[in-house]
This record gives sequence, C-alpha cells and structure tokens, in this order.
Amino acid sequence: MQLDFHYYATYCAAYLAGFRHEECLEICYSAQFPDNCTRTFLAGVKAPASAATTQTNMELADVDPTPVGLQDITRIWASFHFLPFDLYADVKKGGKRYKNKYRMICKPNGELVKDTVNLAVGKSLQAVGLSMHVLADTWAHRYFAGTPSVVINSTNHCFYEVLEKDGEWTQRPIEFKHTPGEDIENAKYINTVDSNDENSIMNLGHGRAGHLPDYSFMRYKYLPAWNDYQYIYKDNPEDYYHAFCQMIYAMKYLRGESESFETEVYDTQTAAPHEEEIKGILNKRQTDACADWKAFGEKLSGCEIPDFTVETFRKEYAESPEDEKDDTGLGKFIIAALAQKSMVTNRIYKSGNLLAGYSVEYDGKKSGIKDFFKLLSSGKERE
Amino acid sequence: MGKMTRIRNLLIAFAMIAIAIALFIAPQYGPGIIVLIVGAGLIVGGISRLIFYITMARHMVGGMKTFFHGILFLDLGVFMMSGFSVSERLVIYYLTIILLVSGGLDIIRALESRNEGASWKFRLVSGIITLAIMVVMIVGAIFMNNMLIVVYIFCIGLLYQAADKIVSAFRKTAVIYIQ
Repeated sequence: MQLDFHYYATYCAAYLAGFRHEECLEICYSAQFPDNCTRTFLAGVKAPASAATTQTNMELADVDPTPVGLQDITRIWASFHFLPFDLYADVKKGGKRYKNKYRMICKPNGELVKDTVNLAVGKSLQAVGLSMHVLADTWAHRYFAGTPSVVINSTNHCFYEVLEKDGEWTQRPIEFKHTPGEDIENAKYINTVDSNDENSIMNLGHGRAGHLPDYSFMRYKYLPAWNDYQYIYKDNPEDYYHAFCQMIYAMKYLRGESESFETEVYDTQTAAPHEEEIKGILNKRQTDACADWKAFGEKLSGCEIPDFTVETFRKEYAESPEDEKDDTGLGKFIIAALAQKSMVTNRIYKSGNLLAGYSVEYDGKKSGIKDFFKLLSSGKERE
Repeated sequence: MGKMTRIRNLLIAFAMIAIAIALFIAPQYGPGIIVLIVGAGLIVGGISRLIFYITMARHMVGGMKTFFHGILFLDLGVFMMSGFSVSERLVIYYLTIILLVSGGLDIIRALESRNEGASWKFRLVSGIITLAIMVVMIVGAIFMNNMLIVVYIFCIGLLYQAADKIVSAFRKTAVIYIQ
C-alpha cells in the first residue's frame, strides 16, 4: 500500500471508528510514517537507528549480505510490512531452511496481527497508527515474505492482469520492465531485476511483482515460486475493502468499544453507508488515489486534511530539548516501532526461526542492542 | 549472532589477515595466489548453488535456473584455476567491478545522508578514495603491466574485510524483548 491508503484511507477509517479529527490526523500520520522512517532519516535527527521501519533503495544495496545484515532486513520488513501469517505452518516439502522461509509468508488474519493490535492497547495514537499500517499491509502484501528469498518471492513470465472489459472479465499478460514510468493502459509495470541469489534484495517482498500489490484497483493472477505451479488470484479492491473494514473494527477496539480483538471480523456495518463511494475509489484505475481519498475524508469530517510531509515529525523532534524528545510525535512513534520490532522478532525467534535474528528476554542485564532499552524506560514512565 | 557464527567469523578474519601478510611478504607469488583464491571462491560458490538447488530451489517455480548457475560458476572457477595468464586479467576485471560498485555506492549514500542532514563527509571521502584506488589499479595493472599493484590492493581489501569481521564478531546483535 502507499500514501493514498496508509494516510488518507486510515484517516477515514479512524474517523468512522469514532476518533476526533485531530486524533485521526495523528493516527494517519503514523500509519504512513513506517514508509518514511529510514536509518538515514533517523541519523539526520540523531534518533535511535534500531527504530527504522523501512529502508531506502540505497540502504538496501548497502546492506552487508551476511546473516546479521539479512536479519536486520527481515526485522524491518517482516515487522512492519510483511507480517508472517503462520510461524509454525506445516509445509510438506524442503528442509528446515526452506520451511523457515515459507513460514515468513505474509497473509491477513494471522496471530501476529492480533498481537500487533493488542500491543497498541493503552499506548499512544502513534502506536495505533503504526499498528494500522502493519494490519493494512497484511492485505496488500499477502503471499510475499519480508525477507529476501528467491524460493518464496520470485515470479516468472506467467503474470496476468484480470480486468473487466465491455461487461466481461478478461485477462492480459503483464510486461515487467526496469525503466521508470508505469503504463497502466498497456500493462507495463516496473519490477526488480531477476536474480537467482536466494539472499538478493531483488527478491525482497513483492519486488518481483512490482507495485501491483500496492495499487487498489489491480486484479492479477500469477505463479508464485512457492505454490507448486498453482496460480494465485489476487483481488486488490476486495482485499483493500476488507482492510478498511478491519481497521475500523480494530480502532474501535483500541478506543475501548469492545473487549477483545478477533481476526476475521470486519466492521462492514459502519462502512456500509459509504460502501459504494469507497469501492468506487478502490476500483478506479489510477496509480495514486490520494485526491479521491482526501475528498472523501474531508467530506466525512468536514475538516481539512493537510498533505503528508516528513518535516512535521522532523521539525518537532529536532526542536525539542533532549529530555522531552520521547514526548514528541516522532518520539512516541519510535517507542511504538521498537516495541513492534521487538515483539515480532521475539515471536519469530521463539518459533525456532533465526531469520530475524536473536531475541533475548530482558532479565535485568544489559546484553542486547542498546536502542531497545528505550522500551524499558518508556514502560516505567507509564507505570 | 550465535557463538559459533562469532567464532567462525573470527577464524575467517584471522585467515584473511594471514593471507594478506603472506602476500605482503612475498608479492611475487601474489597474482597466482589471488587467481587461486578467486577461482576457489567461484568453485565453492558453484557447489553451494548446486546444494541450494537440491535443498531449496527444486521446490520453486523455475528452480532449474539455479542448477545451471551452479554449473556455470563451477566451470568458471575450474577455468580460472587452470589458465593463469588469462585469469590475471579476469582478476583485474573482478576487482575493478567490486571497487566501482563499492565506491559508487558510498558516494550515493553520502549524498542521500546529506539530504537528510545526517553525517556524510566521511562516507564521501571513503567513496572517492575507493574510486581512486580503482583508477590506480587499472593504470598500474593494464597500462604499466604491474601486477604487484593488484596484489597490494587485494591485500588491503582482505585486511579491511578481516577488521570488519572481527568488529562484527563482538557486536551486540540480539533484540531485547521486554514484556
């Protein structure tokens, strides 16, 4: 997903969930920010590098292709963009190494989505926004893994767009290219370069499928590397609508309207009066739906939604005194990001999978990456 | 990083330092040894690709490509170790590509960091020095026919990587989980 859904659509879902306009803005800002919070950005404001929630292309190219470097990539992409569906999935092929990769495949409604939403209970609005980013991406990025892997994430030439033409459903082959410019009229899209190296960053997430999972209007079918030569059909408009309704349900829970958060529950009732308009936006063939979502959000709340800019967080954080940085928007986002990364890494590690690295439970000794001790001080302050 | 990985990193680092020192002491044997090392690396790469095919890639759509890559790497490694005169030229190309990518990446990352207000000067200087080393190597090895310069650059690269492995072997890498 991209800015249109993470920022504007999350604003709409938050508003429908009952948050006030100002709260919605804080939530949607932090729902978009996981796509902007790179190590380079954090270095620029002298914030903890371990709170990075994404990587620039150059940062990825610069990663040391050792297990430690790959674990760092996996921690970032699996925690925030490709939440694993089932860390104990039974797959009847391959050895332990293959199974570990297979178990990183992202899908919606896994146990980790529940853990992610529950982690935001009683926390800041920034934590709510961050958890909505993770939840929404489980729908867009389903069937891909947040770790470099050719055996899971690669695709081949069997890739078709499914579209309605003159009232009939038809399909046409998709041509992938490596030069700038998406051509949705002629089904020519950018993707990463083919690489047979298991650990190549070209095989990270949905890179080989280009931006297709990020476009709400897109319906496509393809042969994923892991699916035994069986086609998978991906219906983005349907998935995105589910994501929207699940966000409303999750945020109502985070506001205290229900006692527990269950998977496979969608608040379609709240969305129903707007269903036609929402589905209209989702189905419109455009690579950027910001204007439509913004107009819908402003109609809902009657308030203006400012454009997203990373400067909002940067300026406030940079200008705050050292002892007040944790109380800024970015400070709260950093704590939420560290908590999410720590939780997901722990779950993956506990499943016997070392792809995201080692996780140590805090026992009073300082024996891990020091950035994470921020969680300790933030927890004490809450108490 | 587990204890075994840390120990393995340290052992590899010490082996790299030993090779670098040996090459500094007897540079006349350098070109042949470098060809052997790069050739052996390609053979190991080929074998590991074949193992990867057997254990993982055969389960994926289009996995046969990995098998052919493995054979190709193996073949290239054997070729390199059998024909020294041609292989020296291959080593120069190999090092040139590595230095070009590494230096170029450093410079681009420095510019990216500068745009975000992060520290960038050290990285920029590092990139420029890497590219300068590449130019010196090309001029020395190809135009002045002096392979010793390639040997020294290879040694410096080995020492740098060894230092990096030693530092990373002692780095804390575990993520702390606080309930």
